[in-house]
Amino acid sequence: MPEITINVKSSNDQKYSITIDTSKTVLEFKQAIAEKCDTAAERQRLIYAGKVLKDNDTLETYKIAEGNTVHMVRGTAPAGSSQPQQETRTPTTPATTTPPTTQATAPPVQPNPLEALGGLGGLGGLGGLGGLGGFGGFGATGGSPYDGNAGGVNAFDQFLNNPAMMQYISSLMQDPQFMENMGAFNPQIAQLMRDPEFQAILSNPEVLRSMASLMAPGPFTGGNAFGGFGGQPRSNTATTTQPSTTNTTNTTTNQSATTTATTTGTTPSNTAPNTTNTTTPPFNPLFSLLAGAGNPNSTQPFPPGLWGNPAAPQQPPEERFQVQLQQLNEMGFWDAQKNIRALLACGGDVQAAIEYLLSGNL
Amino acid sequence: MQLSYIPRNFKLLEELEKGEKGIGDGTCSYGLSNGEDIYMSDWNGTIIGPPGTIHENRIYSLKLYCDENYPNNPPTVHFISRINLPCVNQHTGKVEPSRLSCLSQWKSSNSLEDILVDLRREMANAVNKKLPQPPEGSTF
Repeated sequence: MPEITINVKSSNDQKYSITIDTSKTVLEFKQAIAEKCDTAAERQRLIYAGKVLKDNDTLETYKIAEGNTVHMVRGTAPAGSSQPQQETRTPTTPATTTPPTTQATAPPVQPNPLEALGGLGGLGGLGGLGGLGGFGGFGATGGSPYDGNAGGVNAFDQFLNNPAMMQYISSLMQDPQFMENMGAFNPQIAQLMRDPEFQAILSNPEVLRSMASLMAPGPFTGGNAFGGFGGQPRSNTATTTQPSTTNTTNTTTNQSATTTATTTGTTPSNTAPNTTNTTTPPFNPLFSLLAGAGNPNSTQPFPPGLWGNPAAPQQPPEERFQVQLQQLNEMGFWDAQKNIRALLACGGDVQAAIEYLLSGNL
Repeated sequence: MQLSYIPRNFKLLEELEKGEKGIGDGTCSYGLSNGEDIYMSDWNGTIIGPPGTIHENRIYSLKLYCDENYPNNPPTVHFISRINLPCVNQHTGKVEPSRLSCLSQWKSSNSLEDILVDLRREMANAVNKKLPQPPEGSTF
């Protein structure tokens, strides 16, 4: 009997490859899966091609072929004990355990803000504020993601109140290598970053805070306003980054920001009150800077996808965002179509997508 | 007839492959009831109950039938597992096309997966998610 390799996709986002003889029964298959994961065979429910696999049937009966995927759902324990099936699910934030390398220059900070910062390893990582937005939702409490909106601003506040963070930012500013890297991506940014005035803005919590509160009333709070930018094409962001004296009419709403900005600020078609904007033009470059790193791929300090995702992936979004989709699903967003749209709009950033979904603007 | 046949099988083959490979978010699954059925008419589907609803942890089985006019005409969809949903006939398990948006406004670009996803959305719908449900395992 031929041996085949079957992919098992579990409902909690894990994937396993099991190589097994097709003459084996489903029960034996489950036992093989149980060796690789912590779900006992009797609690597994397997689905393949629209059928629930029965323990006593052989794999042949279901005509499972090499490379096919079987879905595994964790059932409630047998013998009627109705224990809650919420296992210890670790929050599935795109949290990386490997810190950005630029962190070497950073003072010791609690790991969390840094992880959220992931992106550029700091500055651009501010875009990771998108991440912070989400933190409010399912961070420590693991609570309902629905308080994410409020959390966005709060988390941002906490973030700003963390002196280490500020220190970190300023140390990044002084890190020549970091600046060089930034420059390599976009000379304008580098120039901007060297501008003492801009540095002053970045190191001024008040300004950042007022920015955050500017975001707050809009439909896209915290996470989105920043992180959502991640997926914008490079050309757009580049335009916005011009240290603009011309661009005084930028918007603070998420998506319109990039588009209106590219029209070099002709008509104030913005929806958010922009009084602060006009008085402080450098917001615009700051935004776009922040935007750059909302990209979840940016777990290394300088990913190629720094400005959105230039290497446009060829796979359909449902494949590309498979992991994120599953995360969203676990959090109770079952509308796959909406999820995909939200992820597309947010460049794959789960937190930003959540905010987007909750905003009801989809 | 001949003309409408090719796209049908072409489309169904594509859907079959997608179903077997398990592309998507893993909440719905589908495949041919009988792998030897060259007309690819009878399909099985499963929907994993959306979390946070009464359907959580349940697996619903369905059968879908694609006639020769698929995908110009929508397939007929029946629940095998008993379920209490407004769009499902409580005697036969048939999904009433008029009650499910993706069937009533069927487009030939829609897929079997779309139907399952739409049904799952119905389950999660605020109005439906707390509806009392028959015991799991009961069938129509």
